[in-house]
This record gives sequence, structure tokens and C-alpha cells, in this order.
Amino acid sequence: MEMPAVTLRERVLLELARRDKSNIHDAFQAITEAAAVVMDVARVSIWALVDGGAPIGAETDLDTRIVCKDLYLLGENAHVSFMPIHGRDFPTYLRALEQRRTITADDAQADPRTAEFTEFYLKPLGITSMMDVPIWHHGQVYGVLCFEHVGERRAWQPEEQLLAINMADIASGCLEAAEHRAVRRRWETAMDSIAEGVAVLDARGALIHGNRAIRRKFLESAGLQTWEEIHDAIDLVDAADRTIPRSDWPFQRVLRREKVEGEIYGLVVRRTGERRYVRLTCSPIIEDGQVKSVIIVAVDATDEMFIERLKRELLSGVAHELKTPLAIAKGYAQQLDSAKGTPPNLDRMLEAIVRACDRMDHLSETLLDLASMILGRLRLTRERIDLTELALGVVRRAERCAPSHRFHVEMRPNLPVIVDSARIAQAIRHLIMNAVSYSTPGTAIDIELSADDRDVTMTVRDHGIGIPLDQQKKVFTLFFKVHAGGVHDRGGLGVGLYLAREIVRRHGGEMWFESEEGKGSSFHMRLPLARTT
Amino acid sequence: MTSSVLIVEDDASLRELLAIILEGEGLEVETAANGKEALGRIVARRPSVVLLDMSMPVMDGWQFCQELDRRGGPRPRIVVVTASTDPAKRADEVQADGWLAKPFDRDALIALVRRMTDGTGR
Repeated sequence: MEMPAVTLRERVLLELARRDKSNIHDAFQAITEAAAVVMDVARVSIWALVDGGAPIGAETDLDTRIVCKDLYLLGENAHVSFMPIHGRDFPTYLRALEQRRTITADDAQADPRTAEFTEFYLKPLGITSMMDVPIWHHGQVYGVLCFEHVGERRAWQPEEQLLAINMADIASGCLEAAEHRAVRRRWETAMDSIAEGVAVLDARGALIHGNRAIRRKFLESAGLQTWEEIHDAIDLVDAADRTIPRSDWPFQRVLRREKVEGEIYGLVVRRTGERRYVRLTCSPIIEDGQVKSVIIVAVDATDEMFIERLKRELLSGVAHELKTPLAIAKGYAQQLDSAKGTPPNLDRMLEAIVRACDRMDHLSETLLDLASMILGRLRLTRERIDLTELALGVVRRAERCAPSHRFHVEMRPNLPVIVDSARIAQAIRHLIMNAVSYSTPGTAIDIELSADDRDVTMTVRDHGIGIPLDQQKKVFTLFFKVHAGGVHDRGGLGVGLYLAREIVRRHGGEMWFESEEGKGSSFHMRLPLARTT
Repeated sequence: MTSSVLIVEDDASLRELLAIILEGEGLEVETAANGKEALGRIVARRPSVVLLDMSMPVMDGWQFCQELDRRGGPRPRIVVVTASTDPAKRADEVQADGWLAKPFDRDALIALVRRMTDGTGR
């Protein structure tokens, strides 16, 4: 009866096909052992061709080695190994491997394909019949599954050949599985070593894979054990802290094929109220026209949000909130000062309070300007004006503030520009007051306004202390003060020149300077002339 | 008849200061801490000028003006007193007759309110 034997073989094949193939060593041992037992073959082995670079079997590739991965000896029920052999000694055999589904050599010592082994291998071991089946991998021969019969010569049956082919195919499957596992492990290691959280969700929102950052930063820090708890434990808010309804969560939006790219969300832990901000990018993986899974990349944006709020709220908020108390202090001081019969020394004190309030107001204005510049909220209200007239007005007011400096003014009349006049006046005023601050009373300040057919250029030159060469590059840097901490420190935030240049640049102009320490500085400002209409 | 000024400002100290200055100028002064209170005063006292802070609790300056327009009737002259960097824009938003930036100058305040109460405003 053939039936029971076939059934056993089928069962063995099924077992082999089912088992976990990811450990290649264990899988190969299972194959050789099962094959030897089922087919009653004395020696069953798996060999790998480790090639030297050239195509297998090519005559030029003399470096191919045939390495024993496992050899099962049926009589001893033992897995052993065998020394590697050199491909160059068995060219016919190698070529045959590539060309045939199986090499069945009933008389192995005489068969031309296997005769190369006779003297050194077959005879000493008493091997009479061989059946070798190539194991394919990636379209190439990876190696060979060898059946070596000892004793009387054996005629390999067709069903035995078929079984051997099946077993070699299972070995191919093992190689593939091991490779998948290696690729997966590399991918997971890479994913785990990046700071961004990466999660792969299926279409129902269940976590297929989450990298270390997702587990540590987003789950553990929120006190969650599993991804599924997110739905009950977390509220999602937008950058303005408005709660987002579940139906508009980024995952749901991606399912609706909306784009979610670099959007900021806050994750609020319901239990503790703790919140952390993330920048999310979600990409759908679409198969057969359906979203099969969603990849979520989350970058921690908590610090970014904090700094953003600091800029917004501290800079503009505080500056703004200062205004009312300043109004109170200044107003009361002026009210007291206006009363008849205020003693003269009290008068002076009250005036000092008013001046202090004005200085604080000026500082808060600078901070507000800076905030709107940084946050991109600076609005320019442009109109066509005569720059000469505007500049002259600024110079006249500066003369009143710095009466002991001599102002030399040389301006070409009638230079039309289209600018925000308040902002440009602010920039000019800053250049002039800077010149006043860094030069001694009694020295001259030269102000020139000239033009070619395209641009108008203003120069403000002082004859003061100048800027040391090593500090010149940083002059326009925010919060940089040239003479900070020294005897020439004139106070301030180190914001004015930055603002002045930004204002000019936003009008399509430029600001630059030359300076020599001990001799003075020349600051230049160029603005495009308005086209004559 | 003396012109009356309604001061709408949530900061008590500033409210009092504005009242002291304007009373010192011989004006009749009423105060309110927010837009809602101010609406009540408008009905009762019919002031000719309203000094209006914009950011206030309960009812802010914008809501106050909206409500005022909804009710119809003669509108008092409105001077926006604001900490905004763009006071003219604030004034525009509520179609005010003038504006004063915080911190204001005492003399400028008096001059502006005078102009408004004289009927020579704008």
C-alpha cells in the first residue's frame, strides 16, 4: 500500500511548511532530519554556495566555496558539519545545479555530474547514489539540498524527487523569512533610534507598529499601557488649545483623504491635565483604492510651542499690559504737576516720573515692534511721500533732543518714495539718535540725502567713537550691543538697528555702514524711488 | 448746560485718574467699569462724550458700540482709549470720533475732550 507512506510525507511537508522559519539554523535542521527520516536516506545535508563575486558556475569564478550549513546522519541521529569545499574542483557539478531542477545520480560515482566527488568524498564515505536539489533564492542558486545514499545503489523514484523539490522550496521559504526578519529588525532598530515618534495604524485605528519614541514619549509619559487607551485618556487640542472633536482627529481626516502635514496638536492627558505638543504628519497607505493603513510621524513640539507662546505672550503681552499702569503713573504725575503752587523740587521729581514713564513706554513699543517683526505681523501702510520732507522733520526733532550736536544737512529736495512714513521715520530717527549717542556733544553729525535714477540713499555720519573692527559683523544682530558693559554702553536692548534695517528691507531697501574705531561711523540707507507717474 | 463725559474703563485707578483730570477741567463726569454698565449710564445721563477702553470684561468696547448702534438714537462722541499699537485702527473699527493711546499725555487728553465737548470734534 502506497497510501500511508504518502500521507506521512504529506504530513511532514505540512509540518515543515507551518513551523516558524525565521531562525534559519533550526529550520535547516528540521528539514534535513525530516527528509532523512521520511525518505530513509543515510545522509541529508544543506550546502550554501558562497560565491567569490562572479556568476555561479562561470569558469572565471574560481573562488566559489561550498559551505555545509547542516548535515544530518540518520544512523547516528546527529547533526554535524563538514569542511567547506572549493567550487573550482567541481565545475561540472556547479553547472548542472544551475541547469536542472534536480540532479538524480543513481550511480553517483559514475555519473559525469557527480563523478568529480568520487575519489575524495563518495568512495571514502561509501556513498553510492546522490540526489541534489538546488535551493533557489532571489532567482539564483543559494545552495543545494543533498541526499546521499549509502549501501546498495538506489534508483530515485519520481515521487521522491518531487518530495525533495518540495523540501528545497521550503528551505527557500526559510531563507526568505529570515531575510524578512533581518530587514524588519534593521527597520525597527532604525525606527527606534530616531527621536520622532512613528506609528503605523490599521484602518480601524489599531496600532500595528509603534517605535520606541511613540512608546516612551507618547504612551508611557501619558501613563498609558496600550495605544487603544488613547481614546479614553487623551483629548486632542489644536495650537490655540481648542478641543478637537473625535471626528476631526488627524487619523479620521486622513481616512477622508485630507492632508495632514506638519500640523501642531496638543495631547492633553485627562487624568492629570498634563499637555504636550506634537507636530503631526499623517500619510495614508492606499491599496486597491482604499486606505489600508496610516503612518503617523510625531515630532515633539512642546518646546517650540513654549517659545512661540513666550514670544507672543511675554513680548507683546507684557509690553501691552505695561501700557495701563504707565498711563496711571504718568497721568497722576502730570496731574500733580499741573496743580497750582507745586513746590519747584516736587515739580522736578514729577517731571522725572513722567520721563521715566515715557522711557518705559518707548521700551514697550520697541518690544511690541520686535514681536510683530518676529511674528511676521508688521503691517506697512504705504503711501507716496517726499522722503526729503520726512527726513527734515525727523532731523528737526532730533536737533531739539540733542541741541549741543551740530547737524549738517545736505538733502536733495523732492525725492518721492512709497513707504510707511511712520516706520521709515522710526528708522531714520534711530540712525540719527545712534549717531548722537556714540559721539561727543559739540561734534558734527552729517546727514545727506542723494539719489540716482532708481534709488535714494541717506547717509548719517558721526565723528564719534566708531565700532571696533571685530564687532562690525554683528552690528545688525538682534540683542547685540557694540559697547555692551563698557564705558561707552548707552543702554537699550540692542534691538534698534535690527528693527531699522528690517523696516528698510521690507520696503525693498537696504542698510549698511562703514566705521573706524576712534573716528566715527557712517550709516547708509537705500530705498527705491517712486516711479514718476 | 455742562457737558458730561462718560469714562468706561475697567482699571479702577485709571478710571479715577481720568475722572480727576476731567472734573478738574469743570466737566461733569460719570464712570462705568465695562460696556454693560456704560449702556445703563448712557440711558440715564445722556453724556456727550464717551472715553472708551476697548479690552474690558463683561462687555468690551466693540460689543458696547455694537449694542449702542443696535439701539439707535443719538450716538455720543466716542473717544477710544487704547493700549493698542495701532490706535487709529481701533478707532476705525468702531467708527469712533477720536482716539488716545495709552500712556496718554494729560494735556493732550484735555485738549481732545474739550474739542469733542465743544462740538468742534473730529
